[in-house]
Amino acid sequence: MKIRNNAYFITGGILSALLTVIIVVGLFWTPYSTTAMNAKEKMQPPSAMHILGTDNFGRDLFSRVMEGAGTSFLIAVMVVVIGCAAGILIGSLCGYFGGLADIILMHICDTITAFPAILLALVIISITGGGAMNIVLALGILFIPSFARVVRTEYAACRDLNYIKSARLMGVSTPRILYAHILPNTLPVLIPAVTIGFNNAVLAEASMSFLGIGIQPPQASLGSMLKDSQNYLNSAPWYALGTGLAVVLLILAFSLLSEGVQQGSRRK
Amino acid sequence: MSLLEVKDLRVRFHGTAPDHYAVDGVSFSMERGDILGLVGESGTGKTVTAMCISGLLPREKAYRSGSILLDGTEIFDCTEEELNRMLGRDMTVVFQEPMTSFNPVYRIGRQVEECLYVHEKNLSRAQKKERALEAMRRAGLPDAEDVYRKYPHELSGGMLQRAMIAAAIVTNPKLLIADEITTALDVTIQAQIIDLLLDLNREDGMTILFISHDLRVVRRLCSHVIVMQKGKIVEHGRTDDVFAHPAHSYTRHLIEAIPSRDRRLNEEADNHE
Repeated sequence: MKIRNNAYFITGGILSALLTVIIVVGLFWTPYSTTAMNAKEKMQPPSAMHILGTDNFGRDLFSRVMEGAGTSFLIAVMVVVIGCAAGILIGSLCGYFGGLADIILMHICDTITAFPAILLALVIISITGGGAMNIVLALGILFIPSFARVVRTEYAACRDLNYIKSARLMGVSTPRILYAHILPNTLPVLIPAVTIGFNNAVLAEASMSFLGIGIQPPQASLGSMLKDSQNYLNSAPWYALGTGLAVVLLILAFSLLSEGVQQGSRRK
Repeated sequence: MSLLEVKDLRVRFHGTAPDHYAVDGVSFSMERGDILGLVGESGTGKTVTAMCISGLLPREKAYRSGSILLDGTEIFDCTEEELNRMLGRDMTVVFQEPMTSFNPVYRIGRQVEECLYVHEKNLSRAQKKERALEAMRRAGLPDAEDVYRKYPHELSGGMLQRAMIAAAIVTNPKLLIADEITTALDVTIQAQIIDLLLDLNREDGMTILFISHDLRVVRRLCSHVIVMQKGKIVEHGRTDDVFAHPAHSYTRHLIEAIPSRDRRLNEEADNHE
């Protein structure tokens, strides 16, 4: 892949790097407190002091966006890690060994995929209760089938290839064949799946917080901030614009990166 | 004790007719240092026999009976772990398709070292690299250091076949099974590969089971030859004897099918008259 010819990869990479820096900084430092209320400064428009303005409690929106994006980012990363790890485990075993277990597990995956993810997440959250970890767990479980499907297809295609037979004839153990010989060959499809999964996880977390079942106040979350901002669309449009822009940029950055990686793989 | 002893081997694939055996009552043995040629046209059961010896034909795919003893160990009774310990250390297999036998995401050097990683874990990284380079030099790869760092798509078919042989001999196995390894190569490279196998046999005493349908190659390389037809052995003996006095009509047909310069000249002379 020639990176300098890949506009998607360059744009996505720069945007993602920039956002990641802002998010990581936001985990340790923000220009203002994200929870301290200030009645004098509520609903201030963007200015040199508050570049995205302030909300209805006088809190600096840029600081809250930094914290909210960090929350969404961390949740999305954990969701993808859980979904991807379990998906790789299930998909690799199903794809390599096949058989009855493969049929049963793939039907379970299809059944989970048939339901809207948010609806199923609502069911799980209503059983386990709210909180960041429960959201991560609920979304993580719901993301397993998409990864398992992708990985299974690749493993089923690779298992009878000559270089895998060669590995078997060298006495290589099955776990090493699965994760040292076949897994690297699935990366061209797994990496786009991870970036797409990340975007979906950011959207799912934001949607759940928007519906009021995600991150609870006073902790900042992009979804809950968007929900609050809709009451002030006419009087303080910067509230919705700043928060919405953060969601769009986060999704756009990783979508471009994903497209760039896919283009690179296709060229290869 | 023979290094390899195959007794009354029968193989029938699931879903085929009850009397349709891919391999039907094959028995032979190989002493240490032998080069045995297994010849016959496509579909005679040569590769299936090799797959059975290397344990690559599981019970789920075919009915198997008989016995295969490698250095006294019954292959059919081996568990997966026992078989994994033997494969790559006591017995290695080289395939016909060098272009697809290497993992495209790893460099050649790492793949030649794989057998050492699996069977000689106590070796340091530097020792593994040195052994891999030594095997690559023995396999006749020019500039082994350079090839070590290359990816499979950067090498030609002949070089990849040599690299496959290097990967197969890096652990100094007792038995090397070469399944049609010269078929996809041009005549010059074929000759080099045959010389390499002869060197390995003479210098290291490596036992080689050479599977081919090219009788000219078998005649040059093998001390003994087995001719197979429809899953059965129809002739077995010293290569010179079989070629000089073929007892079976099928062997005679195979030998007659070899393009011969003398025969061609005679035919041309007849036509001229």
